[in-house]
Amino acid sequence: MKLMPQIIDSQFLIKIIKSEANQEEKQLFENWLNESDENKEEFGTLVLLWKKVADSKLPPIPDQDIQWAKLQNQLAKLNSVEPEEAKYPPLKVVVPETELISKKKIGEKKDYGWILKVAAVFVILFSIPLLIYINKNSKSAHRVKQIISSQTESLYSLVAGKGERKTILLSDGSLVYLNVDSKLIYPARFTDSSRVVELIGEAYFSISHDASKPFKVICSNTITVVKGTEFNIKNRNDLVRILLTKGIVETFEKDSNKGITLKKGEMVTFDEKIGFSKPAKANIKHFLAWRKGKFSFSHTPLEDVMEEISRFYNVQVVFRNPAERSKNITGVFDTDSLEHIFSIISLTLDVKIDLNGSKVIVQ
Amino acid sequence: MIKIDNARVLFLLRGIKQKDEAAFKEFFFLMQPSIFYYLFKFVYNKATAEDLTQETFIKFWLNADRLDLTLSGKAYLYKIAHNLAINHSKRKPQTSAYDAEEHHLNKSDKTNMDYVFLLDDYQKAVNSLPERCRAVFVLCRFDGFEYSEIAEIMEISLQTVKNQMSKALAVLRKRLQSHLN
Repeated sequence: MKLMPQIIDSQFLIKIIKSEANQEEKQLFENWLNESDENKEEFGTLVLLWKKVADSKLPPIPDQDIQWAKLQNQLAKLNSVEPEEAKYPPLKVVVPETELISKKKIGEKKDYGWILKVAAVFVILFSIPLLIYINKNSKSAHRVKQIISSQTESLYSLVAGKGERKTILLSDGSLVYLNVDSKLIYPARFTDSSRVVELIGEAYFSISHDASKPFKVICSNTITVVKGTEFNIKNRNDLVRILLTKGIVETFEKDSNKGITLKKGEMVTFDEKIGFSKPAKANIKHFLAWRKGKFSFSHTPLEDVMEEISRFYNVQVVFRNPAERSKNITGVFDTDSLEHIFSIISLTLDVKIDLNGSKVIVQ
Repeated sequence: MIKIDNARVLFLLRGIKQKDEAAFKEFFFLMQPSIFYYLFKFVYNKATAEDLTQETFIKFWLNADRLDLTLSGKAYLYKIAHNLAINHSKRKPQTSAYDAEEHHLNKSDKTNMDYVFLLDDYQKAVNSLPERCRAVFVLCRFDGFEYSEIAEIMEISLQTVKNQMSKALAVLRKRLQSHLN
């Protein structure tokens, strides 16, 4: 039953392509299509055009965490410059939820907006990057708390649990990307003379340049001193790895005055028993794969692979046969499907991996 | 195209109207890619598209109390983005061929040269569309809006949307003829 003659135009045909047409419309379309070869050609061209244009390559989406942090800065700025125009208070600077460890007075709110403005400028003009990592439950936490709290500011800790990653914009405009199962302890505001934070786990730092206020990262028994740079620090299983991607940093063993200078692209490993290794060029892509949401393994024993996986997916891994622990894996994996990772590993190593809820059994 | 759950969007909009920052954050993470690409297709410059995306969300947040929850909130966001894009191109006359550097096509990718040429021609073809025409086409093709919603976003009549769309398709068909046969 047709109530009204439907006009076959581009709008109608697009509806067909998008599969939004109803039964009646589909029937109408079929009839129209069979009417003439011209119609078939017209539709064919439209489908092709529709499909092909979508294949266009576009630039990558700007990093959402950074964009979000910038947005907050801009809102804060708007608020402090033209209070009569801003309808809402600025968003909080700290992106994720934080847990207040010690309560002391936080600076006046007025100062806050000003700092943000300056911070925003620093982020844009001078940001430089670095990666650090560590694992053990920090024996040094207490000592560090003392160092940081001597800055007479509130201390906060930001915790990324298993399976979560977090980003934080510090009051000086530095950005810290916290990897899974990691913790950053930082003051609400930095003092006039230095900027000190403590890391447990792994994080990538993009530090705002400020030569008069060196930025210090305490991680296990190491202290890395930066004036403005980007680096990654990782501390897992008593090893601390510091990888520098831009600028220059100096890193010290605690209570020692002898520092090691790292240059761009170099990594140094600190072992509790042996001390520092010699700095050497490192494969940045491999060590920073986590920033792109990937796992990168290079002759990595299955035991270590599973440890990374258990941190990321919050699962528990049991090895039925100890011999499997030392089998090696090399490759880059996307983190979106655990099942997929397991299927590749089990094929490559000829092991059986069972995933049952949050339990993983390797046999 | 990025798939967006409209029910979720509506839920978030209700929160945003009540100044809920968490809702705004989720909304930002959900919509930022679409808005960025929409703007990119206007300005063909990554940095400019990035700035305008920020501006869009700021305006959106500052005007959150005026949000009309019956209107698709998505459309409202696009409306802001669209106006910014139009204003931007008024401020600064459009450069016809965009910067080779901004052109992110991987030149070293020689796996399929025809494909690369097609992309190139396609981008030029879309870029060659008159502004209104391009907006209609992009909103329909990439952002999945219906004609009526596009009319709302651009503040034009439904008939104009239809006309512009036909025009866009005709121009693209003509310009891309060699690729479509």
